[in-house]
Amino acid sequence: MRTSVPVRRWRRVIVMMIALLASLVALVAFSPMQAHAAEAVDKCNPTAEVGCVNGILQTSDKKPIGGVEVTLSGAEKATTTTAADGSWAFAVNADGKYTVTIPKAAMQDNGLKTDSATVEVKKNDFGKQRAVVRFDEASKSAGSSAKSNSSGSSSSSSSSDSATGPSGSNFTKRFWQQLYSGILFGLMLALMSVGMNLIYGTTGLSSFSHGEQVTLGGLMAYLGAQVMHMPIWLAAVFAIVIGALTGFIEDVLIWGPLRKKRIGPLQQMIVTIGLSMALQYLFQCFFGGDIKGITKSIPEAIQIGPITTNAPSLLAAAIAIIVIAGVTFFLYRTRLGRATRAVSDNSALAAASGINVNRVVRVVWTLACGLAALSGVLMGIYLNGISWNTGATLLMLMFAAVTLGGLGTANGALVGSLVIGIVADMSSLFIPSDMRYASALAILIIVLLIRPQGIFGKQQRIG
Amino acid sequence: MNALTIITNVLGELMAPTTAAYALAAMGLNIHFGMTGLMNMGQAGFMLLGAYGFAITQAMGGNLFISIVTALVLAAIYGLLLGIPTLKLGPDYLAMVTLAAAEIVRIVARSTAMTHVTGGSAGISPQDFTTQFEALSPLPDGSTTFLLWTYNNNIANSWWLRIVAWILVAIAAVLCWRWFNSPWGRVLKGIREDENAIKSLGKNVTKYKMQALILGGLFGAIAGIVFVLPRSVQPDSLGRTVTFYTWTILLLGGAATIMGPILGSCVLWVLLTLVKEVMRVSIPETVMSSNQIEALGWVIVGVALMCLVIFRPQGILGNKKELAFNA
Repeated sequence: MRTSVPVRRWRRVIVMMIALLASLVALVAFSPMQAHAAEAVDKCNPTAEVGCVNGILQTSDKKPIGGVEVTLSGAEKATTTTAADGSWAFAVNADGKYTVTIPKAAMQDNGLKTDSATVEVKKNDFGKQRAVVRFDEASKSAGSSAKSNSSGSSSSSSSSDSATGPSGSNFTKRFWQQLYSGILFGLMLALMSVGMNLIYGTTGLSSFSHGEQVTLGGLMAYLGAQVMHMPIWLAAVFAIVIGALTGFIEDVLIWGPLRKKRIGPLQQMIVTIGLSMALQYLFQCFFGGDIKGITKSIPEAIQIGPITTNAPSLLAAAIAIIVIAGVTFFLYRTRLGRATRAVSDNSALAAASGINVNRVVRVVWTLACGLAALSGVLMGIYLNGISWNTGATLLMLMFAAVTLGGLGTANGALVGSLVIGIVADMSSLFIPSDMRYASALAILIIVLLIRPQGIFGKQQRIG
Repeated sequence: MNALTIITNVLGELMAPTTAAYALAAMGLNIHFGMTGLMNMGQAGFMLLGAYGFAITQAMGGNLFISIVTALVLAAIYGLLLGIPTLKLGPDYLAMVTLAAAEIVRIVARSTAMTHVTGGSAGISPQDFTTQFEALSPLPDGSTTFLLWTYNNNIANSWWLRIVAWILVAIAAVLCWRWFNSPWGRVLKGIREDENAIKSLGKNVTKYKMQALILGGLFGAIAGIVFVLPRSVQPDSLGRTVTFYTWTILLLGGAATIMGPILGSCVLWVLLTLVKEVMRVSIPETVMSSNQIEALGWVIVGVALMCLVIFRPQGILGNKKELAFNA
């Protein structure tokens, strides 16, 4: 029965593609009208029917700015001009997210940190009836002007990278730039997925909370560098130690007892989902919803051939390569590493031959979470900041990378990550850049169709 | 804010359209997981497709019937596409593919390139797609107070929507009850317990799984429509977290039971609102902002999900023997 499977799978891929295409075309054929129900008002008071988006436009030294055009977009659209005292307000009818923008020139002339901000309005929610917008604080949606290449965080759709599609020599330049940033992104992704893959290999668990471990690393580095004023390298070490420690503690408190209770991997998977939700919102609770910058300075650009980069990015890439090499050395050349691979292959056999499986798994959890924390720090530096849900956005890409390389295979994750990183960044040459993660996930689905065991996986794993 | 307001808000959740929408989504998930043992981690994808199918056709001026059919057809096609490659593979593959596919739907829908169709990340505002539904209401205009609660009769978060949503839930519950006790439902349970045994009886297991996947997806699509009617269609409000809440609701109420999803949805939202309202009153704004309390509410959901799975995987109503996470 298995022999005919590949051919039939290919046919299915084609059928699926055609159907997907057809449904996309069907979707594009429709087009709803956009609403223009928001109103520019002098003063806005929230009621059950009306929510407010307002603010006072001031220079960085608190002087009001009058006569600046303010544009509201999102669920509803409107435009207004700031009054002499800098105040402006919109009354809106629909709940949802709104983006407020002021002209770039007005931002630069007045020393403001951002020219656009996104807020959420919920009329029924006491805290969200009124959204106050400030332009003197760099916010989540601030068009990250520091970077010219689009890199990772889903919210920073930088204006200079507005996926205009291929065109001439500019295309070649963009090709190399995207390839470079793809490799960089892939390397950092590899740091995360190697750990996730080790966990899967030794315990059979797809950990949904791994994304939060990455966020934790970034946020701890922010805490160290910006709040506790450590030098950046010490903050990074601090983040890694905390990350590894959480891995260790989680294994002692949660995963170890669950293994002992013989709770199955699928059930454990749902536990990781719960943990991921709890951690994510805990981060939001403590660190807020905006992007936290680990370093405050904007690094100077370096030109290497057709590629524009900067020193921290290169350093991050170097660290990633060294650490991945170190992990590979650990897995293949040390006693404990060999034991890890043995548990990965067949944990019952490993236990029978005198390997302390529980200890190995504990080391793996500690190592994996430490690696995730490190990648969080590097990500935070590379992306100019980290927010409470950065890891969650990356989680799907980690899954894609791990599955692509082969679930549970030691080096598969590295190759898988590089492929996913490059595909994600290169695809923005052809499709809008905010869809680039979708292309990486599409790769995941196609790989599962053609070769469910991944590039390096063994055939026997299929269900 | 006094005690009466809190009670009004908390008990109001019992009949809120969102509670009904989650109950419907969890019922769909119950057909997947409770009945058939399929790990669908992308119920939000079905909901999104349902919501968009409905809202976009409505905005184009199609009539209500066509819109609902479009939503259902989209969800069915989506289920078919997901099922074909994955139903023969292990359960974790279905989990990953459904999760990834739901994310793809969301990312594509919120992309700026799709703004003319889906409204991008801002979505579609209610006045574009709710008018026909509201016009259908037999209730007079204005608002009505019933016991403690005052809502508008027809517009947005209305009595009309509440009535329709809970009638849908009731119909869905009756259907589920019929299906669970039919020969077809017993085959599904058989697949959940031991796929090979059912195969040996000459049943086409993949076909049955596919039927269950699509059927549960249709429930998801309807849930998506109910979910967006009181607000706007927004891709990010139907993200991965919605799937996870749906799982929490299903496991809380009890998988593989008829009333479990409904009970789970009511209990979760009532408790969550209660906790948040009480915290809002008792904790001063200086110690904790309302955003933080909102976040803390979700932390509680996460911890509840963990504890449920570990200590009481059968939920409130379930039977432990019925529910085995077979890996």
